[in-house]
Amino acid sequence: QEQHGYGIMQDVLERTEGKVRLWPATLYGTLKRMIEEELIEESDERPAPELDDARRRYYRLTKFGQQVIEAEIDRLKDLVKAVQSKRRVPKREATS
Amino acid sequence: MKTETILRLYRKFTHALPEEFRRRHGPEMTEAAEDLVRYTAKRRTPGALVAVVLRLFADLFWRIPIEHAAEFRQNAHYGARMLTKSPGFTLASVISLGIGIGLTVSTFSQLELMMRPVPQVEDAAALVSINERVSYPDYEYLRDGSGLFKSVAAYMPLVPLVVSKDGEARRFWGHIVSSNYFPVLGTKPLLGRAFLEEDFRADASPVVFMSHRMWENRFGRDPAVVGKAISINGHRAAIAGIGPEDFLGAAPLREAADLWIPTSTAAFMAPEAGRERLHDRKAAAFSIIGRLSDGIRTDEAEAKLDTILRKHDDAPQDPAEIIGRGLFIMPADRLFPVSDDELPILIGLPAGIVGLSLWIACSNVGTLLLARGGPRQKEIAIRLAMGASRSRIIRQLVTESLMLASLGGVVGWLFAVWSNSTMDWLKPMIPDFMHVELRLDWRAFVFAAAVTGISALLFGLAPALQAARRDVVPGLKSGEWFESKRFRWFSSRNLLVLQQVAGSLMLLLITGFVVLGFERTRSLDLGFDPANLHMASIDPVRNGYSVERAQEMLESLPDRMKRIPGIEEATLTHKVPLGLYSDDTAYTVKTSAYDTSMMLTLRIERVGIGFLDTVGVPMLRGRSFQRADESDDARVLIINETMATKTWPGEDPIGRQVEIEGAQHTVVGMTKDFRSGAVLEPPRPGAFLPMKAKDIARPSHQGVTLLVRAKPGVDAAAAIRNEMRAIDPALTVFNVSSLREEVAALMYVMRLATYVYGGIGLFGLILAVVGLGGVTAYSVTLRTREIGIRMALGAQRVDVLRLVLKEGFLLVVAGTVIGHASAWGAMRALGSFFEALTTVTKTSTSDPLLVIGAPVLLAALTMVACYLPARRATRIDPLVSLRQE
Repeated sequence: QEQHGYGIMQDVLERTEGKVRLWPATLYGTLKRMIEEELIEESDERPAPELDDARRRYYRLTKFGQQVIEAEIDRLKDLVKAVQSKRRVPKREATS
Repeated sequence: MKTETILRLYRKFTHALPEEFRRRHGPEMTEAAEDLVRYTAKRRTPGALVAVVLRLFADLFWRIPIEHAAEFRQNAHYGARMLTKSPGFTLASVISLGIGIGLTVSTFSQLELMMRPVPQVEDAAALVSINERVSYPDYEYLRDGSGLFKSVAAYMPLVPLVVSKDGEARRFWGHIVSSNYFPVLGTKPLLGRAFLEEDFRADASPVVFMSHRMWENRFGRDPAVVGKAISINGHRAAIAGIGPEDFLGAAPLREAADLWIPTSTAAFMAPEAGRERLHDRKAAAFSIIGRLSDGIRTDEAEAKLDTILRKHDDAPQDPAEIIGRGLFIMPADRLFPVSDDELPILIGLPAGIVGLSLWIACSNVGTLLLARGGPRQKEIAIRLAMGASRSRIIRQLVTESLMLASLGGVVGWLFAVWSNSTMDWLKPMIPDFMHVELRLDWRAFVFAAAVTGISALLFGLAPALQAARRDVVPGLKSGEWFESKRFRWFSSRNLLVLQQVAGSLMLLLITGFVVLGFERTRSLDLGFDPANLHMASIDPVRNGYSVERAQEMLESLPDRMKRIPGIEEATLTHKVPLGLYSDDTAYTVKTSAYDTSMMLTLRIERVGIGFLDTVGVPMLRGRSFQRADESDDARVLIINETMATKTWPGEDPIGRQVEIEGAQHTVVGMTKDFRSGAVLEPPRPGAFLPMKAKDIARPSHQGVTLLVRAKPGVDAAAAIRNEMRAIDPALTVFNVSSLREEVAALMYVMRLATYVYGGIGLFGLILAVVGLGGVTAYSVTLRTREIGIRMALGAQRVDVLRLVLKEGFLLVVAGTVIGHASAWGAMRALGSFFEALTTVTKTSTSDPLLVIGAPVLLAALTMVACYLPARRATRIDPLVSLRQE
């Protein structure tokens, strides 16, 4: 799904309940690097003109970016699993 | 502050971000910042707004260097790819820069060493000395009556002193000094005291001042030794004080001392400084060190000095009667005894040659970068068309140039480290004990790196500046610009090549001349044959022998040696032949010719009977010494050819009179010139005197040297040692060596200089070849289409070859003419040095080997360098080259 820079900023702020704010320079620096690494790409599709701002650029995940996310999710899951089994923490306590 | 002002400021600061980042994300970024600031200003407290604004700016400032570093990384990555894509270009540039920087650094490091001041001396810059030694009465006169010096001291350098400790006797060098020696130098003792006026009274108890080095090596840095007595030449003397670290006297390289004794102590302690010597006006044994009076210039002092001393010495007053005697004031501030007159030679020549090499290296990299800039214009045009900003392209090229320069710097530093460790031509002249370490001169490195870096930068930018001036479309079409392809003499490229060829030739001619000169010096006629000649020194008087016993032993020594199988000849001499710092005792003597008396400086060697036969110095006239000549009342001498031609030109010198130390001597023979000291020196008047009993009683600082000529293959050194042990095992034998080795040591500097200058000349040659080859290659690339058209119209390969080679040839011819002229000018500018070299080596600056050989060699090699790209031009396929349209 396409998203523009400021939208990403808001999105992250909401999802982390205000804990993580991406400041503009850092955000766009990160976006630039992700484009260079081909994790995201610029999208030509733009919303209806009344919702749009000419200055905005829209980004979407590439196929490769999607794969990287899934791989990353798996990796984190495995990591959590590994830590839990090692510490022999009962699942109930860990989730509660 | 209003939110609008804050946002304006924010927008302004985003301009510090790299241009590409700003163009791509700038508007969005500022929009996001605007939304955030406006939202916070409307909905939240002023405190929250301040916090948000601070974080916003912190975020921006944090990001700016990161984004620049990212861009630099990208540029460097791209640059590295470009450099590895043309390895020939990269290698040639890096080697050029590296050798240029390395040569500069290593040369200046060595020059810095030469210019270092004498250690542990106060205000060394003001110290002066006199080139010749003077008598003690002359010194007293200079000190009290001349008004030339603010303060002045005298010392008799290199007096051997045998120090006995725990039953073991060892020789050390000492100075016999006047009372104000330490005050004039301004040297403060580390322990104890310097000499006092009382120490110089005739009835004073003997004292000695010791070097830090001797205190460390012989006395284990024991502070309690101060005030204790040690045995010197069999007499007791109390240690007055210990010198500061590294202090070895006023001239530590030529005359390093470990012990200093007052003239009063020396009077009975050292055979060379008997009390009568202090009053003998003819005994020129003292070196002078002092500081000139305020307002007296060196040349004034020099002019007065000679008059003053002549008046004092009752010498002829008419300067016209004085031949070959010149007194000079020399600066005594430097570790290496370099006079201001010698500076242009010692510093100017290497500095000039290195500067020239650096210049050639720079212009070489310039030509290479320009040559590469041509083909790169297509690439630049593409990047410009793809939306890269011109400033980005410039930054890219700057990055590449800096990478080249840094690689060159690294190579240069390594080169300097290597050359300083292997070609350290000063090392053999520095005694092992001196704490003089060659330091790589970082100032020279910064200078050389800056010069090469800036030129790499300027030339590296040329394609970008050209691209910035023009339309991108033609560049995209064919990779070349439509410009006049006619041969233009004054295009920047041709001028660059021209001065490069000229500079290389100049370098080749000058270094070639020096190399040829040194090379010939090595095969110079020494006046004798060093093969199978061996030497060993003994010093029986300082070893405790009485004069009579020493004389008796020395008299029979040559005959004892000759009885050993394998030894053909044996003789004695007062000094070591060919020593690098051998003490060339000069005497001012009076002679008469045409009924007028003249003075001249004569180098005198006192030798035993059979010296001339043993060493093989050919007699030209008269006879050699006989036993009767050794008696005290016999006064004869044998002179050399130069002395004869200087004093009695065209006449027979036999039977003439020469006044030496006040006594008339008769010339009984004349020999060929005999080279005993420095090699780079024209032959000087010299004479031999027979060695007499008084010479044995007062031996030179090298004792008495035995010279033997052995049959080839005989181990003469072992034979000498065995024989000496048989005579007296207690006798110390030193200076055991062969004359071959001595000659080799003397020639070592020459040989090294030959290699160094030869290497630099070769380097200039390589640079010229690489540079011209690169430019021809570039020119061929530029003219590909023109050549294609010519070939399509029926031009033959040989025509194309001629077309391309003609340009290179014209440049080489013009460069040769300019190079010759400038080399000639440079050699004139360094006239005195080249004059000395030409006189001694009989090498002419118009030597055909140089004048014709050097340009022919250069032209041949550069034409080969032109031929390779020219041949490539003949392979151009007209179809391919024209299709580019």
